Amino acid sequence: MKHLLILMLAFCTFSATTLQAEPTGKDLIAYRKAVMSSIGAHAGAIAAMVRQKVDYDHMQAQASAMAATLSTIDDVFPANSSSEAGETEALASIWEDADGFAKAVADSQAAANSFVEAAETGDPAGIGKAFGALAGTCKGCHDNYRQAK
Amino acid sequence: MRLAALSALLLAPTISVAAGDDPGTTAAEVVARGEYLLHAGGCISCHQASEGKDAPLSGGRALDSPFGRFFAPNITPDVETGIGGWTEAEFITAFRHGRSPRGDNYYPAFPYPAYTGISNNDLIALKAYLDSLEPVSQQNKAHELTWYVSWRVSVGVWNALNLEAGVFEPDPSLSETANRGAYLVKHLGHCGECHTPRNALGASITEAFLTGNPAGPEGDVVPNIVNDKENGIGEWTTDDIAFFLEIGMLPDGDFTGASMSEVIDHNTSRLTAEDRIAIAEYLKTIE
Repeated sequence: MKHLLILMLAFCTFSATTLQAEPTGKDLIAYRKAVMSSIGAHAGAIAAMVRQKVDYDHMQAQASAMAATLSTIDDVFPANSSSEAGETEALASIWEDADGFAKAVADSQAAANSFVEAAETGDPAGIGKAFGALAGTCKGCHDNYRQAK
Repeated sequence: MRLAALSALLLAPTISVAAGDDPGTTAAEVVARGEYLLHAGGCISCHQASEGKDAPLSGGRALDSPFGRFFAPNITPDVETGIGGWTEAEFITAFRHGRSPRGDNYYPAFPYPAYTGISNNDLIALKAYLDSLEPVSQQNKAHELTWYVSWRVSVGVWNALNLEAGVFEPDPSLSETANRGAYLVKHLGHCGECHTPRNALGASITEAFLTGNPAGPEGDVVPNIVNDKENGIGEWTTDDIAFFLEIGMLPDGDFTGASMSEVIDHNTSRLTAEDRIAIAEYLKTIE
């Protein structure tokens, strides 16, 4: 009996971590904003090292974190998270030009992976070049798929 | 891992050409300088036929404005359809006074109110570079304008009201670097074309220079870039501005998009590090 009770409690705890209902468009947008901000935060940290504002030995850690976060981007633009669902700078072109957007995302992920490799070598010239290339993919995507601001 | 010299490498200029007004001595130097000026002048964004890297400058790009739709002309050296038959004097007049070799007024979609300040030496070098390109035969598209601007003579009146023709004069109260920046921002780079609000006649409002434009090209809201902590970029350091012009990253780690991303790709990332610093230093002087 006691064992069964523990089992039931365990089950309740587990089910509490799964969703009560489908996420709303607003929730999806809020989550996406958090994800995009964290990518920006990693970029800010990397730039501070690239520009020698600080001399931390964190390039690899930040590069990996950036790449890991960027790898989730494919998931965070579901069709029900457009400006019809809530306030967002994500443009309708994301869903209208799904192939173009998928390519822009894939380019950015590839550039982030190359940046991780460059960070591992520790070669300043390689790091600078790879960060520049990654930056280009961020701009490229914002250019076509994010509202101008 | 200390990243000694990393910044210097990232900031290395893509084109190593002297940034002053020295026209260069050999013909090849003048052409190379002209290519640098093509980037500093932001010519590619409008005159390139398509987005491809090596697409010719044969025109065709549409520029929408409240007065209608303008199509950028062919500036390759094709004699029939481009600017191949132009003399140096005609080329200079086009930039200084907004007048074509036939004596017609250009519409200020061609930013001659800004380009008027470009030095003769720079214009001669720019023409030498354009003349070195492959001629492309491509007829210019006619602009699609609202009736009240479709009469080119009215531009003469507009010019009388709004055009202050003349080569850039350095401001003695600014440093040499800031003056170089002023030349790049006000004239070659024509930053005010997007960043300065316009009056009902479509002329830039001088007193509001670079304070942002709620109705910029393609309907974009263009930000205020004066040295004001509240409304502009007063919180940015000179270095932040120069870095932004190089790779497009804002101080908070975000990346720009829209038209500015194109400006960075085609123009400001191609400048020397010294010229980006000069632009930044000048922007810090505008309150």
